[in-house]
Formats: sequence, C-alpha cells, structure tokens
Amino acid sequence: MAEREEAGPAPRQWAADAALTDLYGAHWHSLVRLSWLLVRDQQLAEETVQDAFVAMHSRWSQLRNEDLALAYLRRCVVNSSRSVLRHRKVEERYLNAETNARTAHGITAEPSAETRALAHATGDRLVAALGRLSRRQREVLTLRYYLDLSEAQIANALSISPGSVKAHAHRGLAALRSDEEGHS
Amino acid sequence: MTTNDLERRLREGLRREAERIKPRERRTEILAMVHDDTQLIEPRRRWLIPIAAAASVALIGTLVWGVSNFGGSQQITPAVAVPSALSSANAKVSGASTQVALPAYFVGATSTAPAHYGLYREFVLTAVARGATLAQKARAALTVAMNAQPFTKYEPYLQPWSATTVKKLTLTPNLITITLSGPGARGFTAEQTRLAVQELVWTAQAAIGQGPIPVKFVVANGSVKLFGTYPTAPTYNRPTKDLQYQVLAPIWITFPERGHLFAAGAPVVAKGESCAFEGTTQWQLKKSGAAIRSAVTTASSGCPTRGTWQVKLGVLAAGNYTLRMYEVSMQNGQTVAETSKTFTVK
Repeated sequence: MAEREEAGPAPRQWAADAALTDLYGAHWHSLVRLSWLLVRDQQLAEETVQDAFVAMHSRWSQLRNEDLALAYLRRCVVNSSRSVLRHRKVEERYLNAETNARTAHGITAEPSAETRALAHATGDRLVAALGRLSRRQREVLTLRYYLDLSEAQIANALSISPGSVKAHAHRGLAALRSDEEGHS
Repeated sequence: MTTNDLERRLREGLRREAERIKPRERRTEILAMVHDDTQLIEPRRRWLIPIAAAASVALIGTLVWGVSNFGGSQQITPAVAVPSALSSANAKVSGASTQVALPAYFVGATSTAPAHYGLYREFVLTAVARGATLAQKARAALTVAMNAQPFTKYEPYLQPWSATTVKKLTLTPNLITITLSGPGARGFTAEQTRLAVQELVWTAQAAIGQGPIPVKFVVANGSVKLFGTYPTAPTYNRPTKDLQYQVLAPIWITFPERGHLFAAGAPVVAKGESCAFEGTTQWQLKKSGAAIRSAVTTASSGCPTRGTWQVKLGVLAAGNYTLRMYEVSMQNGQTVAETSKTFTVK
C-alpha cells in the first residue's frame, strides 16, 4: 500500500477528541452537579461523569454531533447515578444486617435527620422533600428544574415516554406541595 | 402556594444545593483514559459502567503549552505551567486550532545510585489544527516529546533528541515512518539511547492510538544509524507487556498531576502505576519540605507485571505538598526507584 504523507486512516478519533474537549468545557460542572444531586457523593458523581465522557468518546462514531452526544452524556449520568444508588442500597442492606453500620460512603440515599434539619433551617426544605420522592419523580424534577430540560429531553435522558415524564412531574410536584402545606 | 411559586423555589433550591460542591477538574484524566495505550488499570466499579473496563491510567498533564505549528520550527509557549516562571506567557492558539492532550514519553532517571533510567509519560495540552489527521497528531506529540527542556526544572528528564526535529511522519495501517532531521544527540549512554528510541516509538503509537504499529526511522541527513548505534533499516516496536519493565520507569504517579490544586476540605487520593517487588511501594508525604507522613502501598500486581496503586491521603490542611513514591531494595535497603509530584491544598 502506498504511504500517504500526513494522512491517517480516518479523522474519527480526532473528531472525538475535539467533541470531548468542547463538551467537557461546556457541561462538566453541570453534569457533575446533576449526578451529585442524585447520589449525594461528590467523588462518585465525578467518577460517574468521567466514565460517561469516556463512554461518549468511544461511541463518537455513532453519535457524530454534539447534541446527540450531550443527550447520550445525560443518559449515561442518570443511569449510572441510579446504579450507584442501587449498589449503595445493596451495600447498606448487607452492612445493616451484619453490623447495623452505615455504609463506607457515609452518605445514604435518604437524607439523615441531621441533613433534613439543616435543610429545614436553611430554607431548603423543598430539596429535602425532593429526596423523599420516588426515584423516578426525583430524577424528572431534578432534570426539569436543575437543568431546565424539556419534557422531550427528559424523556430521552430517562428512556421513558414524554407522557410518563409529565405524569411523574405532576405527581412529584403534588407531593412537594402537600409536604409544604404540611409545614405551613 | 401557587405552582409557579413552588417551581421557582424548587429551581432556586436545586441551584443552591448544586453549588455546594465544586467539581474538580478531570479533563486530563479523561483524556488519558480515552487515549489509553497500556490498558493497565483494572476496571473501576465494573458494576457502574462497562466502559470503565477500558479505563487505564489516570493522567497527569501538567504543563500546558501551545504548539504554534507542526513544523520543525515549532514554537512552544507555556500557558499554564503550574509551578514556575514558565507561567509567565500565554499560549498562542490560532482560531483554527484546538487543544488536545497529547501523550508524550520522556527518558528520565528512576534512581540516582546507581543511575537507572526509564520512560515517563506526560499528557501535554497542545494546540493543533482542528481536523488534524492522526499522522499530524502523532507528529505534534513527537515534537513535544523531543523537547524535554521545559520539564527539566521539575523532572529528571534527559534531552537525547535536542536539536533534532521531526521532518515528516507517514502512516499506513501497518507502518509508522518517522523522518528525523538528525540521528540524535551525542554523549548519552547505551541505556539512555535505547530508551530514547523507545521514547519515539511509544509516543507515536500512543498518539495514533491504533496499537503497536511498527515504527521505521529515516534520517534526513542520510545517517543509517540512530545515535550511531541503532540501524534505521529494521522497524522498531514497544516490547510485549511482560517485558515493558525494561522500558518504563518503575513508578509513575498519575494523579495528582504536578501542581494540582485541591480545594480545602476535599479528600486527596493519589494514584499511579508501579512495577515493584511484590507490588510494594513506599510513600512519603512532605509539607513545605518536611516529611509529615509515610507508609507503604501495594499495587494490583508485582513486577514484572505492572500494577496500579492508590494512596488515600485524606483531607489535608492548606499548604504545599510533595508526594514521594519510592521502592527500597530488599537486598540492601537502597532506594532503587523513586518519583515525586507536588500539589497544593488551598
């Protein structure tokens, strides 16, 4: 085969690098914070988003544009954050059964009484109440009110229908309103 | 409470809550993972994301500079050199350029008595033209690797390629051909020049990222041997994994990168690779030059297999730190390999 000067087999890898660099600059902080809102562990949140970027890079040939890549990143982050919580609950159940101890993470999925009291004292009662909603309602409301995503974008991120998004948002907000009225 | 009020309060509450954390920078680490060329690190949290299985070395690009062009007359201007006077200038990046972390290997001392050498890897943020080909990227990486001078204030790197440039790089699926302006500098030992050749092989292969494609060298001035020793007729390649200990420095600290800034209150976890007897590496933490803690860590594998290790340093008080990793000989207690990285907690 004739050699091609300054020619690589394909620029695919290169495009992936550029996309990763651009997306990282624009969305790293917000995605880590999104994951943190879901898992409440900064180290895990950073690792979750880091892995999402690595996965995005490896699939760049299928994604090809930054909008699709961002949607893919969000989906990875939400799914992986959910896996973190699921894993943590398994771990907690095991540890509680064995030693009645807290997990090594030191932060449970549900806010502690102390966290709830602090949230109340600082006026973030709503956020604490959000943590007591079902997982799906919490995800929908977090994507909607933290990232300001549309119903279609949330549906894409959670792999559910827009109708389900609407229903979870409605029920979640109703539960929060009820919780607020209980405190007033 | 109206729905609008509830939504507004929820939006504000989430924003305040999210801002309680300051995400740490991991761009270089991510770029290191996607450009993994050694696949040494075991999968992290396999239950979390399968792609993590491809993860390797955490990274550490420290000096950040811009390479104004690919040519032999490259101009390197430090942009974010963390700990030095190098930080005085900003990188020149043209509008048609983008910055990517390129892997570059350097020949460096791994111990002083007796003197031994090995390859260290840096990921250097480098400005290159948007849409550059893999060959162009590899050439840019080689240009960085062949100029160790900006690193020598912090690292024991040699400069066997000083005054030598890459004239041309061609790439086919089966061969990387590197045309050099000269055969390499004089005055280096056989061990150092052997590693210098490997330095270019590893750098080109890593930047291209398509496995151990054989490398052929051509010297523009007609020389048929690199450093007067290594013939240009055959191709060169990196050794198989079981023999890579003959090339790579025994200990790498891949995180924190040199000059990394940790936010006060954040736990510090150092990571790296080693090829040490029974995987045992000792570490020492110094604050403002004075040793404050030391212990031993065990890597995932012992030599000749290269393993990964991590040291959890916990939450540290504000200050300037140096993490020193070293291996002590079981035979005579001498330090047979060591490396250090500085970082700051603020």
